Amino acid sequence: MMSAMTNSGLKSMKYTWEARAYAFSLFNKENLFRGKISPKIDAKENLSIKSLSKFEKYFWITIAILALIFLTLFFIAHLNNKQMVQEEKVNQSKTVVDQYIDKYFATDRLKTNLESHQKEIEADFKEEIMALSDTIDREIEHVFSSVEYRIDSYLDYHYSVVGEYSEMYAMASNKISNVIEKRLMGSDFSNNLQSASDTVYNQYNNRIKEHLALLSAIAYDGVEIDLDINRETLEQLQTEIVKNQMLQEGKFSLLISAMIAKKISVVIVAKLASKAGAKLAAKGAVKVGSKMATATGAGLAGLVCGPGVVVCAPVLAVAAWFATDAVIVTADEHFNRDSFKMDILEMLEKQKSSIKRELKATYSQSFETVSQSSQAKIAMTSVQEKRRVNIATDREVID
Amino acid sequence: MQQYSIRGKSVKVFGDGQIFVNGNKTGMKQWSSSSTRYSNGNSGSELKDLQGLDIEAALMRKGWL
Repeated sequence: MMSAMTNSGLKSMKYTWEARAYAFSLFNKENLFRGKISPKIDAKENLSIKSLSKFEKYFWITIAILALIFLTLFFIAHLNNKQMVQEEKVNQSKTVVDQYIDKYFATDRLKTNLESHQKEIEADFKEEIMALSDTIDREIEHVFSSVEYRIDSYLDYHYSVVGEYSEMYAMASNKISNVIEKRLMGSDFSNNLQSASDTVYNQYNNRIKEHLALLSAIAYDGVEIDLDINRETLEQLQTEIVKNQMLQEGKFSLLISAMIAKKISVVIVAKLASKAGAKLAAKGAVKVGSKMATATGAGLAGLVCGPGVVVCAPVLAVAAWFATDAVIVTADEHFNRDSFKMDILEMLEKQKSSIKRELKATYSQSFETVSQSSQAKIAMTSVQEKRRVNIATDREVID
Repeated sequence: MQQYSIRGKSVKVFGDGQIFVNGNKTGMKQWSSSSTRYSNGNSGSELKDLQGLDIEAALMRKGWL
């Protein structure tokens, strides 16, 4: 039974050093030397080694030598194995430490990133400016189109007897600008202009936000930033950019204020008023001559009034006066309306172009200032970048 | 930033989604949540006709490749 157990134990351990040791210990424990393998040897018989046969003597000596070699090798192997396991453990722990050492470095990669993508930044800048320019054109055209639409109705008024006297009265009372402004520009012109300015301003804000978002995306590309460590720096950067943006925005409000204060309508009206005044003065001279002639005619006609001359004469005079006006105004309209309309259109066009130019220049300059200064601020910002470092070589680990 | 070379052209998609082809702005933005959806860079509205297309197909549809 013991033999069977020994055999199965040895088989299961597949002759490893441990199996051999185990077998050897079993041999000792069960006294196999005496009981099973060599039944002749018995403690009670107290046989000396000399009584053993020559075969037995060499047999057991060989077994003893082999056992001694085995034990020596087993001991050495065990020691070596222990040392190797320890070294492996040290190596493993060393590798793990190397892989997870993170160091923080001040990096200028934000700057290099911006520099290496200037082509895209410039393309975006141009696109944004073009989009903004289109918006300015569209909005200002819209504001002035309503004025251009009113020209004919204004001219109808201007070339009428009522209109002529109203303008003359307004001129005498120094209110000609108000009359023309109301009739030509429309009462909502200032509001329309303000609304257009607001639209342009909102568009500018959206465009600049998009541009700054692209700048950030480009600058921080591939840079691993620990937000906790860089929080203060990034907040400061953001504050600087916003501050600069606000500074530029102040310029817009000044520009809009200047546009409103200047009252474009007043500029146009002043020019129109001087033209209208000159026309009235010219017409006045013509009228004086023609009215004198008319009066002479009416005076001759008064001869037929007879006794009702007190009523008849003033009526004839008034009729003759306004009939003359009507004739002169009609003649004036016939000869001058088209050229006067062209003058007004030309003035509006000049004012329109001037406003567009001024808006485009201001917004474009501001956009460029914000873009450039933001890039400069980003480029000057040194953030702490996290990198993995090999602790043994102190070199960056490239994943 | 993701950079591709598609049909001999350099295509860059920046962190904010903006797509550039050979350094030119396309005006298209790729969604961060889905790489097969795009929006108009100016208005922010989705370009429905590009839904489900990969970047190569989307840029070809818009005439950039």
